[in-house]
Amino acid sequence: MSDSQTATNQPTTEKEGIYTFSKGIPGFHEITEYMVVQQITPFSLLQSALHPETSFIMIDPFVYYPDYEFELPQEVVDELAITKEEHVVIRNIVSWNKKAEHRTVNLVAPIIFNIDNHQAKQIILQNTQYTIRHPLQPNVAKGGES
Amino acid sequence: MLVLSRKKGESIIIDDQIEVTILSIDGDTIKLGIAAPKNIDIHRKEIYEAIQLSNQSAAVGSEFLKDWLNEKSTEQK
Repeated sequence: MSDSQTATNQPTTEKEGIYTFSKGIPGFHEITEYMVVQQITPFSLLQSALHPETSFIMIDPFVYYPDYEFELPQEVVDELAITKEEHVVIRNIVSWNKKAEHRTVNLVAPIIFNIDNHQAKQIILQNTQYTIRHPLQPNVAKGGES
Repeated sequence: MLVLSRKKGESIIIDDQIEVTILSIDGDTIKLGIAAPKNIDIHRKEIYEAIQLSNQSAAVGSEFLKDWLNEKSTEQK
Protein backbone atom coordinates (compact mmCIF):
# COMPACT_ATOMS: atom_id res chain seq x y z
CA MET A 1 0.00 0.00 0.00
CA SER A 2 1.42 3.36 -0.96
CA ASP A 3 1.16 6.49 1.12
CA SER A 4 -0.96 8.16 -1.53
CA GLN A 5 -3.79 5.77 -0.68
CA THR A 6 -4.38 7.49 2.60
CA ALA A 7 -5.37 10.63 0.71
CA THR A 8 -9.13 10.19 0.77
CA ASN A 9 -11.93 12.64 1.27
CA GLN A 10 -12.30 11.41 4.81
CA PRO A 11 -10.27 12.31 7.87
CA THR A 12 -7.46 9.81 8.21
CA THR A 13 -7.15 10.29 11.94
CA GLU A 14 -9.48 7.59 13.15
CA LYS A 15 -9.49 7.83 16.89
CA GLU A 16 -9.04 4.59 18.72
CA GLY A 17 -10.90 3.78 21.86
CA ILE A 18 -14.30 2.63 23.05
CA TYR A 19 -17.32 3.52 20.95
CA THR A 20 -20.95 3.17 21.99
CA PHE A 21 -23.49 1.74 19.57
CA SER A 22 -26.66 2.51 21.51
CA LYS A 23 -28.67 -0.18 19.68
CA GLY A 24 -25.84 -2.51 18.77
CA ILE A 25 -25.56 -3.47 15.12
CA PRO A 26 -27.99 -5.68 13.14
CA GLY A 27 -27.50 -9.26 14.25
CA PHE A 28 -25.70 -8.21 17.45
CA HIS A 29 -28.10 -6.04 19.43
CA GLU A 30 -26.73 -7.19 22.73
CA ILE A 31 -23.31 -5.68 22.12
CA THR A 32 -23.34 -1.91 22.55
CA GLU A 33 -19.69 -1.19 23.19
CA TYR A 34 -16.83 -1.86 20.86
CA MET A 35 -13.20 -1.00 20.86
CA VAL A 36 -11.89 0.50 17.64
CA VAL A 37 -8.33 -0.50 16.98
CA GLN A 38 -6.43 1.02 14.10
CA GLN A 39 -4.57 -1.77 12.42
CA ILE A 40 -2.78 -2.05 9.18
CA THR A 41 -4.01 0.70 6.83
CA PRO A 42 -6.60 0.68 5.37
CA PHE A 43 -7.94 -1.87 7.86
CA SER A 44 -9.14 -1.32 11.39
CA LEU A 45 -10.86 -3.56 13.88
CA LEU A 46 -14.12 -3.34 15.76
CA GLN A 47 -13.72 -5.53 18.81
CA SER A 48 -16.09 -6.39 21.61
CA ALA A 49 -14.27 -6.55 24.92
CA LEU A 50 -17.03 -8.65 26.51
CA HIS A 51 -17.52 -10.95 23.53
CA PRO A 52 -14.05 -11.79 22.23
CA GLU A 53 -15.58 -13.99 19.56
CA THR A 54 -17.30 -10.99 18.02
CA SER A 55 -14.94 -8.75 16.15
CA PHE A 56 -15.14 -7.19 12.75
CA ILE A 57 -12.57 -6.20 10.20
CA MET A 58 -13.39 -2.77 8.84
CA ILE A 59 -12.01 -0.84 5.94
CA ASP A 60 -11.77 2.75 4.87
CA PRO A 61 -14.13 2.39 1.89
CA PHE A 62 -12.62 5.29 -0.03
CA VAL A 63 -9.37 3.41 -0.51
CA TYR A 64 -11.08 0.77 -2.64
CA TYR A 65 -14.04 2.80 -3.82
CA PRO A 66 -12.95 6.45 -4.09
CA ASP A 67 -16.32 7.41 -5.57
CA TYR A 68 -18.33 5.87 -2.72
CA GLU A 69 -20.92 8.35 -1.57
CA PHE A 70 -24.21 8.61 0.24
CA GLU A 71 -26.15 11.22 2.08
CA LEU A 72 -25.98 11.02 5.84
CA PRO A 73 -29.62 11.11 6.99
CA GLN A 74 -30.48 13.98 9.32
CA GLU A 75 -31.81 11.47 11.89
CA VAL A 76 -28.35 9.93 12.09
CA VAL A 77 -26.68 13.33 12.41
CA ASP A 78 -29.06 14.03 15.30
CA GLU A 79 -28.79 10.59 16.89
CA LEU A 80 -24.99 10.68 16.92
CA ALA A 81 -25.02 14.39 17.88
CA ILE A 82 -22.71 15.23 15.00
CA THR A 83 -21.79 18.90 15.03
CA LYS A 84 -18.82 19.01 12.66
CA GLU A 85 -18.14 17.16 9.44
CA GLU A 86 -14.57 16.51 10.51
CA HIS A 87 -15.84 14.45 13.44
CA VAL A 88 -17.37 11.89 11.08
CA VAL A 89 -15.46 8.78 10.08
CA ILE A 90 -16.92 6.15 7.76
CA ARG A 91 -15.89 2.50 7.86
CA ASN A 92 -17.40 -0.60 6.24
CA ILE A 93 -17.37 -4.19 7.39
CA VAL A 94 -15.29 -6.65 5.42
CA SER A 95 -16.17 -10.33 4.97
CA TRP A 96 -12.74 -11.88 5.00
CA ASN A 97 -11.80 -14.95 3.02
CA LYS A 98 -8.52 -16.78 2.61
CA LYS A 99 -8.80 -16.17 -1.10
CA ALA A 100 -8.42 -12.51 -1.99
CA GLU A 101 -10.94 -12.79 -4.81
CA HIS A 102 -13.65 -13.85 -2.34
CA ARG A 103 -13.17 -10.94 0.07
CA THR A 104 -16.06 -8.52 0.05
CA VAL A 105 -17.10 -5.27 1.65
CA ASN A 106 -20.62 -4.29 2.65
CA LEU A 107 -21.26 -0.88 1.10
CA VAL A 108 -24.99 -0.90 1.93
CA ALA A 109 -24.43 -0.65 5.66
CA PRO A 110 -21.60 1.77 6.51
CA ILE A 111 -20.64 2.40 10.11
CA ILE A 112 -20.71 6.05 11.08
CA PHE A 113 -18.34 7.10 13.86
CA ASN A 114 -18.53 10.39 15.68
CA ILE A 115 -14.91 10.59 16.84
CA ASP A 116 -15.74 13.57 19.04
CA ASN A 117 -18.27 11.94 21.38
CA HIS A 118 -17.50 8.27 20.55
CA GLN A 119 -21.04 7.43 19.47
CA ALA A 120 -21.41 5.17 16.46
CA LYS A 121 -24.08 3.47 14.40
CA GLN A 122 -24.28 1.08 11.50
CA ILE A 123 -26.77 2.60 9.11
CA ILE A 124 -28.59 0.94 6.21
CA LEU A 125 -28.72 3.00 3.03
CA GLN A 126 -32.13 3.25 1.41
CA ASN A 127 -32.58 3.01 -2.36
CA THR A 128 -28.88 2.55 -2.97
CA GLN A 129 -27.07 1.14 -5.97
CA TYR A 130 -24.44 -0.41 -3.68
CA THR A 131 -24.52 -4.03 -2.61
CA ILE A 132 -23.70 -5.99 0.52
CA ARG A 133 -20.89 -7.80 -1.27
CA HIS A 134 -18.60 -5.61 -3.31
CA PRO A 135 -15.32 -7.28 -4.24
CA LEU A 136 -12.30 -6.26 -2.21
CA GLN A 137 -9.37 -6.85 -4.46
CA PRO A 138 -6.03 -5.06 -4.56
CA ASN A 139 -6.28 -4.77 -8.34
CA VAL A 140 -9.44 -2.69 -8.20
CA ALA A 141 -7.98 -0.32 -5.63
CA LYS A 142 -6.91 3.15 -6.58
CA GLY A 143 -3.15 2.93 -7.04
CA GLY A 144 -3.28 -0.75 -6.16
CA GLU A 145 -0.37 -3.05 -5.65
CA SER A 146 0.46 -3.49 -9.30
CA MET B 1 -50.60 -11.55 14.78
CA LEU B 2 -53.14 -8.75 14.95
CA VAL B 3 -54.96 -8.34 11.65
CA LEU B 4 -56.69 -5.04 10.77
CA SER B 5 -58.45 -4.02 7.56
CA ARG B 6 -57.63 -0.54 6.33
CA LYS B 7 -58.64 1.46 3.28
CA LYS B 8 -56.51 3.88 1.30
CA GLY B 9 -55.88 6.99 3.36
CA GLU B 10 -56.57 5.23 6.64
CA SER B 11 -53.97 4.77 9.35
CA ILE B 12 -53.09 2.79 12.40
CA ILE B 13 -51.36 4.11 15.49
CA ILE B 14 -48.82 2.01 17.38
CA ASP B 15 -48.01 2.87 20.95
CA ASP B 16 -49.17 6.47 20.73
CA GLN B 17 -46.23 7.53 18.61
CA ILE B 18 -45.93 5.52 15.40
CA GLU B 19 -48.45 6.18 12.65
CA VAL B 20 -48.67 3.94 9.59
CA THR B 21 -50.83 5.22 6.74
CA ILE B 22 -51.94 3.41 3.58
CA LEU B 23 -50.99 5.95 0.90
CA SER B 24 -51.84 4.01 -2.23
CA ILE B 25 -52.75 0.56 -3.48
CA ASP B 26 -51.74 -0.55 -6.94
CA GLY B 27 -52.27 -4.22 -7.71
CA ASP B 28 -50.22 -6.12 -5.12
CA THR B 29 -48.10 -3.08 -4.20
CA ILE B 30 -49.11 -0.99 -1.22
CA LYS B 31 -47.38 2.28 -0.39
CA LEU B 32 -47.07 2.90 3.33
CA GLY B 33 -46.32 6.20 4.97
CA ILE B 34 -44.71 5.86 8.37
CA ALA B 35 -44.42 8.69 10.86
CA ALA B 36 -42.31 7.74 13.85
CA PRO B 37 -39.97 9.36 16.35
CA LYS B 38 -36.46 9.88 15.00
CA ASN B 39 -34.96 7.20 17.22
CA ILE B 40 -37.08 4.48 15.61
CA ASP B 41 -35.23 2.74 12.77
CA ILE B 42 -37.43 1.55 9.91
CA HIS B 43 -36.18 -0.82 7.23
CA ARG B 44 -37.47 -3.12 4.55
CA LYS B 45 -37.36 -6.48 6.29
CA GLU B 46 -35.49 -8.41 3.61
CA ILE B 47 -32.74 -5.78 3.51
CA TYR B 48 -32.48 -5.68 7.29
CA GLU B 49 -32.20 -9.49 7.41
CA ALA B 50 -29.55 -9.45 4.71
CA ILE B 51 -27.48 -6.98 6.78
CA GLN B 52 -27.92 -9.15 9.88
CA LEU B 53 -26.70 -12.20 7.98
CA SER B 54 -23.83 -10.28 6.45
CA ASN B 55 -22.70 -9.04 9.88
CA GLN B 56 -23.01 -12.52 11.36
CA SER B 57 -20.93 -14.08 8.62
CA ALA B 58 -18.34 -11.27 8.82
CA ALA B 59 -17.83 -11.63 12.59
CA VAL B 60 -14.50 -13.14 13.50
CA GLY B 61 -13.00 -14.39 16.75
CA SER B 62 -9.80 -13.56 18.56
CA GLU B 63 -7.97 -16.64 17.27
CA PHE B 64 -8.76 -15.68 13.70
CA LEU B 65 -7.60 -12.11 14.31
CA LYS B 66 -4.28 -13.24 15.70
CA ASP B 67 -3.58 -15.17 12.51
CA TRP B 68 -4.93 -12.36 10.38
CA LEU B 69 -2.67 -9.79 12.00
CA ASN B 70 0.35 -12.06 11.62
CA GLU B 71 -0.43 -12.54 7.97
CA LYS B 72 -1.00 -8.80 7.41
CA SER B 73 2.19 -7.72 9.13
CA THR B 74 4.15 -10.28 7.10
CA GLU B 75 2.64 -8.86 3.91
CA GLN B 76 3.77 -5.38 4.87
CA LYS B 77 7.40 -6.35 5.29
